[in-house]
Amino acid sequence: MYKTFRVKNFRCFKDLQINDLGRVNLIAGANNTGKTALMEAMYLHTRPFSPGDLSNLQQVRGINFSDDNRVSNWRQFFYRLDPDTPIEIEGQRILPEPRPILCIEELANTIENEAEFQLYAKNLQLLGMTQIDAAKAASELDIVLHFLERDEKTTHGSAFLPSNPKLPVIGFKDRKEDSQFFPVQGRPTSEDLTDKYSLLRFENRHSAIDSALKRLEPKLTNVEVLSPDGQRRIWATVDGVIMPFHLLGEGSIRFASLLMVMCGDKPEYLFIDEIENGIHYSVQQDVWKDIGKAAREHDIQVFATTHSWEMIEAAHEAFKSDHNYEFRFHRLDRSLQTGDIEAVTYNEFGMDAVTSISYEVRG
Amino acid sequence: MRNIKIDERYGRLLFVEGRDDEVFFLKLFEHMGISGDIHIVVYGGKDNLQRHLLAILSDANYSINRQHIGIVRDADYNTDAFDSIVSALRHANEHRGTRHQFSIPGTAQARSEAAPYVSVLVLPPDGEGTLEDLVVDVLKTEPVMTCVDQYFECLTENGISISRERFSKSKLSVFISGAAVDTDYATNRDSRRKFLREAVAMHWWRAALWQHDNFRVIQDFLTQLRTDQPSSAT
Repeated sequence: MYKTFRVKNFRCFKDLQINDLGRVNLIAGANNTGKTALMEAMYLHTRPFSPGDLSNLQQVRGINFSDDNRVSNWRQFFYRLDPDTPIEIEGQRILPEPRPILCIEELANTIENEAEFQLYAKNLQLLGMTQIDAAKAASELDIVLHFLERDEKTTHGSAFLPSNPKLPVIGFKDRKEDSQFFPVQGRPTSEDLTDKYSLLRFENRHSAIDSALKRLEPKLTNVEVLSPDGQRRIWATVDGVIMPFHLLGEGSIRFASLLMVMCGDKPEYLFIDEIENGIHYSVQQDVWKDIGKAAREHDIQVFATTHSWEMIEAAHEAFKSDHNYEFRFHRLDRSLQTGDIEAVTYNEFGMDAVTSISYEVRG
Repeated sequence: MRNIKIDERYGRLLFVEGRDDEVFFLKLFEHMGISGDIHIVVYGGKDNLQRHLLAILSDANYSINRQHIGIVRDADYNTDAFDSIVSALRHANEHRGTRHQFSIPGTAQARSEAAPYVSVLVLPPDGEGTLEDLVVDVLKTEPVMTCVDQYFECLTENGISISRERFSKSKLSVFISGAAVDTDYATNRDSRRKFLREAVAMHWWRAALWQHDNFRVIQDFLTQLRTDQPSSAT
């Protein structure tokens, strides 16, 4: 579980330090203060050897990503689109362990970076490509992701992203990469949800999902996997009518999907963009209680963004009713002096203060 | 409902306890010709002061434009109001979510040493009581107050007691009724009347009343808040 986090030269962040992270973290701020970008940085740090995530994150933002525009897309991750200053993403976790830094830097030419080139060439060979291909790569390898330990400066591994679209992106998979990102848009497929729910049902771990759905839709009485037309999918009984689960509202499906991931996949880290989407104010406290319970039971650290005051208040009230307040609220602000983005963190005491006087904390 | 938002660009803030005090100070600003120089924040009672202090301290840009913060509260009874405010400032410093800290003034009316400055005014400055006590004292030479005094003496003689906490507030309400006896005000049954704010807003309130010694210390405090210069009272 992360305790602190630092992001340098990434997207809109020149140098952002965020402290006192909780098990469940809610991030707010005015538009263009980097709420989603902060979660992207954290997501990348939890999956340092998955360079393909860069393209996924761009596509989530609706940016077309293809092999032909790799470089242009990668450069969008750099502060002010300037790849001359490397990106550094660093997190300190609660357990004593090295403080790895994910460093993303653009190499003008790998010939000048012999060690990096040799490593890439070696991996090309492992993939069955010839030495000639590797040599050709030398002048084309633009961006390299390093994963370093701060103290020893030793490289744990590198992922390679060549600018030449004919050359493969190579990443290492020798480390557990266990996080999931819920973007603002994009529904999970019916098949994906059905697979997850079936497994939970089979293992008799579906009650948390059923209970949560009933709170969101009080007329819902039953959820089950059926295949009346030969296609296996989830069906819900609402007001006595059995209907495909996907006909329920956006909020119900998104939240059910979220809980299925938490209870089924149990990722170490979960990122949710604009968590308030589709959630009626009257059930927001319940939603937070469900998220807090699942996070605690399955040892998941949750990061979410919001623009909703009601969602912020609901989170505080939900976690306050627990004897162990595992919630932190973080606001991203732009400094009037430097224009840089800074983070302010509120613990239980701070949240009590601002919610009791309805003080604006959304930036 | 809109949330409270204290603009980070405001350089000088004056924290006052209630809406009544807000009107009193706005009128005094007008008299002193400093309207617009100081932004008033109503903290809604002493229990809420610490919450407001913590809230503004957590603003990322707290110290960039902020020059001076003034805090006013009633002395009340059987309590040390200044110590209570200092304690609220210290608590806010302990629980801050940013690198900012309040500088703590050593005594009432004196500003703290580091910018953004903080100064505290307890009213009355030299004993127990409330701002209403000062206002009633200012009005003691007004003809209507003679009648009010007789009325309260009569109440006392007939065994009708009034607590010291309510005494000046009650006196002020009767005074205002007397001063406005032949107007629509006297027949208005609005129970939400706030007598302090009405007193300073009434037609009979004269600029000369602001010259009273009771208000001198307040004006010195506001001058210091506006100019960052130590007041003559310190």
